[in-house]
Amino acid sequence: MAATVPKFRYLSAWFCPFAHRATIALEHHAGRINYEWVEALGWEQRADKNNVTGTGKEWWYHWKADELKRANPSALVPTLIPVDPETNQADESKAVYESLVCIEFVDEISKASGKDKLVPSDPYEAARVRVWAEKVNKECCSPYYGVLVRKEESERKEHFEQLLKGLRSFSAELAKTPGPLFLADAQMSKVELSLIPWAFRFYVFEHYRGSEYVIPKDDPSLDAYHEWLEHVLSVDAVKRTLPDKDKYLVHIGKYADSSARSKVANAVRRGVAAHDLDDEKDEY
Amino acid sequence: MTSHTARQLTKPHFRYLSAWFCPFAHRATLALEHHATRVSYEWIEALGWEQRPDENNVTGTGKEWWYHWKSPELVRCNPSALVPTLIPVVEEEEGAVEEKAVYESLVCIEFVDEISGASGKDRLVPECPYEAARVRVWADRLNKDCCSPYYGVLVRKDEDERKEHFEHLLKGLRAFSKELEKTSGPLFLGNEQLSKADLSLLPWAYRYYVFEHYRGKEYVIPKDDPSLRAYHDWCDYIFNLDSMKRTFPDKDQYLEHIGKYADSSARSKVANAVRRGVSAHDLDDEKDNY
Repeated sequence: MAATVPKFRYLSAWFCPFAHRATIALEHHAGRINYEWVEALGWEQRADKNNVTGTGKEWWYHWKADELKRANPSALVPTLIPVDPETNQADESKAVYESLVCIEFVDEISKASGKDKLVPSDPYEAARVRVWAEKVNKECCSPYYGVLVRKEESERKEHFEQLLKGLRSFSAELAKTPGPLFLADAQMSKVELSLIPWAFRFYVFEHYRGSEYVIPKDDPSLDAYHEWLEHVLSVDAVKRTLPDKDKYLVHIGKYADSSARSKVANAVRRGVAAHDLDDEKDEY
Repeated sequence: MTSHTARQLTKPHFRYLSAWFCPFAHRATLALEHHATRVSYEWIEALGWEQRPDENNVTGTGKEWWYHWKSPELVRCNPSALVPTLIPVVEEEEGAVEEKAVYESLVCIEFVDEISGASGKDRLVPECPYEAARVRVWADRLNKDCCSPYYGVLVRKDEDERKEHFEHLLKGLRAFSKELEKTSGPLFLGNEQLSKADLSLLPWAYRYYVFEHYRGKEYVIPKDDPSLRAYHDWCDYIFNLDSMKRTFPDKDQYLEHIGKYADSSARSKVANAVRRGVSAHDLDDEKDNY
């Protein structure tokens, strides 16, 4: 019996950095996994009758696919639903979600080995990868929303400083192993995937918040980070997944002017970290 | 049999930097005891409390400050200097290999599981990728919804805040109960397979008894609530497993220890974070240092 490649319906959204993590994992393991991209949440502009945003417009998550709502109790992307390759039946009861868990899941289901694994086989390196994937999530990814969504200049600055501190810490750890990536010998890992979607998006800060919000390029404590970024953005599996820069810049405008209604935006507006969103409080 | 082969057959061995009262470290202890036949360790008490006079009456309770001490080994091996921290001891390298220290309690569970070489039902993270994903999602959810609010109840001074944290905790336990009902048997996975999800919650479930003493009867986890039935069945089962029972700190000793959190004289990163108004799981290494 020929081995069949695992197949998935991949519920996603073109702009979402959390989903982007899963996309990179799927593309990294292209050939070992098949998936069908399903755009599962989208925006529609509606009139801002009560002038809540002050912009005259109000953007709502108009729709979430019913499939997404059924398969994931939080109705968030990324969500992976396995499809039986013979019957073509999707099994929603086995849906996998939470972006960092998706990376590990995709890695395991791919049956890859050695350098192709995103979580290495060595338990010590696996532990180091897991710790740092969470660290960059908390220190470099969550503050992104703080810079874009919070209205107080001092809060924006604080989040940006936090982000820079996280990147410096990451740079220091990068410097410990040979090669530009987190692991030695240019092995891609869960740490790369955790940070890339946000590192790619940092460019929007300058447009919406000014030149004081550019990641410094002449700062030696960030050299390793810049070298890392240059390398990862040239990797094929990553390049294929990058959203169009101009289209994304327009999209993210609704976060910057507070007309965005999404769980992440609502959480940050409420004053908590993006990674601490509350499914109910931040519902809209 | 050469001495090299004999070395290969010995269990991985660790210096386990821990603290008898700490629920985060308790998670790692549970993983180590679950894999007791496959991994060996030496317990090192690496942080502790010491009393000092509160000369400036900072606590306002008239009680003494309890300063935290940390062993230099812990400070060297873990940048955050927190427990649990596992340091491998390798004969060929003549002792402890500090650069390979493993920390963060949930990561420690996965690490111990992998280094143990266990398979099948003995694994704390199952081999099936779908079940592994479910275990990981729930280990994190329980951490956030049922473990972090514990400190909110004990440390926050405002009664409304305490109530809010407690309600959040109960909501988390109800969600857990519902998920437990989906599989046969009392544990998170079917067929009485212990997992990372169980270990994530257990140290806190064991400690909930302190609420009644420090905060009153309204802070007891309801026993007659059907939506918590599966949770109580889980407790009854897991509290009686030998490998788990061996790890429980003495109830009276712990009750007395936790009093310093309840009256704000405790100085620790977790207590400081919660006093500052953020979740325990969001402590800041610098802001919450002392």
